Amino acid sequence: MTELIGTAPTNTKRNSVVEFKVKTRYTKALDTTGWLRIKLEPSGVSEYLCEFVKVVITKEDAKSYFTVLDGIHKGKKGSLGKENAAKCLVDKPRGTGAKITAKINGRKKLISVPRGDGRELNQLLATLTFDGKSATITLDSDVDYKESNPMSPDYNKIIHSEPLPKGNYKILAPQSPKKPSATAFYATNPGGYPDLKYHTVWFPVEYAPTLNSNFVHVGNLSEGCITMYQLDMWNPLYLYLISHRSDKEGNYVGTFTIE
Amino acid sequence: MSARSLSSKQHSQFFVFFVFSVFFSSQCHAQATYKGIQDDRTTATKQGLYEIQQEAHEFIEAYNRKHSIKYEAMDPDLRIVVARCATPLKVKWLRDTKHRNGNVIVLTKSVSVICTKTIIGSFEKDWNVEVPVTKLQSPTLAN
Repeated sequence: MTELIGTAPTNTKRNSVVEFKVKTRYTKALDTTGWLRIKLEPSGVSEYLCEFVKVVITKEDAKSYFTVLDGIHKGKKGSLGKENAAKCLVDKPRGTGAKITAKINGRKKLISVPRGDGRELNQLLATLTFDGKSATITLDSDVDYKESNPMSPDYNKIIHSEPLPKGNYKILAPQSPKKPSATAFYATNPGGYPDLKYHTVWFPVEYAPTLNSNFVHVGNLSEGCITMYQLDMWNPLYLYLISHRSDKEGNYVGTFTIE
Repeated sequence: MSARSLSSKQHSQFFVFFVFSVFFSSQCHAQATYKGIQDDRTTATKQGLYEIQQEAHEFIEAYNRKHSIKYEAMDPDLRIVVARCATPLKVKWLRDTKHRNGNVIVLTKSVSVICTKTIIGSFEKDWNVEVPVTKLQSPTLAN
C-alpha cells in the first residue's frame, strides 16, 4: 500500500505537472546520548533512531506522525508530541559522505587510567584524520576473547584479536545503542573525559569476514575495532560521522581507509 | 661512578641488586600486561570480569544439574568496566536475543550478573553485566 503523505488538487489537463511539497526532516536526539527514542505507530513499541535519519511528516495535529525514509528502520511509522517533534525532527541537511583515514604508527604498551586496573595493553596505535582534525586511535589491543556472535564460524572459540587489514571500508550508520557499561566509565572514572557524549553510538564497519563486528567507537580496548583512544576527540568524530550519509538509501555514513 | 671503580664488596652488592631488580621488574612487567579475561580480576575499585564470569558459570552449572542439560556460560565483553560490588552478586536469565544474518535467525541465551550495591565512591550505584550462554554440543556418536 502506498503511504499518503499529503493531498493536492487534480485537473483534467493532459501531462500537467502539479508541484507537490512534502516535509522531510532529520532526526535529532533530545539529549547527548545520540539516540532518539520514538514510539512506533500503531503498536506503541519503543524504538531507537540514530541522528540524521531522514523522515517524512505524514500528519500533524497534537502529535507529529512520520515515516522513516532510510536506514534499518526504513518504512516504519512513528510519532512524537508536537513540542518534541519541533526539537527532534529538524531541517538540517546531511553531508554527502564522511572520509576518515588511519595511518599506523606501531605497537606501544599503554596503561589506560579509566579502566582502573593498572595493566598495560599492547596497543596498535594509529593517527586518525577526519574533518581537518587528527587524533590517536587504537586498531588492536592484542587480547584473547571468546567469540559470542552465533553467526560467526568462530562462535564460542577463543580467538586472538587482530586489526582490520590495510584497505578501504564502508562505514554503516549506527543501528542500536550499545551497553553503557562498555564505555560510560570513560566519562566518570578518574583519568576519563567528563564531557564525553554519544558513547553508546558505535558505527559498524562493513567487513564480511567478521560479519560487520568491527566498529568505530570510543574506548581504550580494541578487539580489532577502530577505537578512539583519545577520549576528548570522540565527540567531534561522532558529530562528523553522524551528519553524513554517502548513499541514497542512508545506510552508510562514509568511508574508512587504513594506510 | 663506573662499576670498575667499585670495591669487591660493593661489586657483589651491586650484582645482587642488579639480579634482584631484573628478576622482579620482568615479573611485574609480565603481570601488568592485560591479555584477556584471565587478567581481568577484581581490584580495590573495579569488579573483575573473571569473577563475573565465574558467578555466571556457577549459576549455569547449577541449572545444568537441575535440568540435566548442558549449557555453558561464555565470557562478558572485555570492554566492560564496572565498579567493585559491595554485596554478593546475583544472576538471572535474560530474555532470548534474536540474531539475524540474511534470512537466518538464531536465538541466543544469556544471563545477567547483577550487583545491587557498589562500593562507596563509585560512579554507578549498581550494575548488571550480560554474559552470553551457549548450549554445549555433544560429540556425534560414531557407529
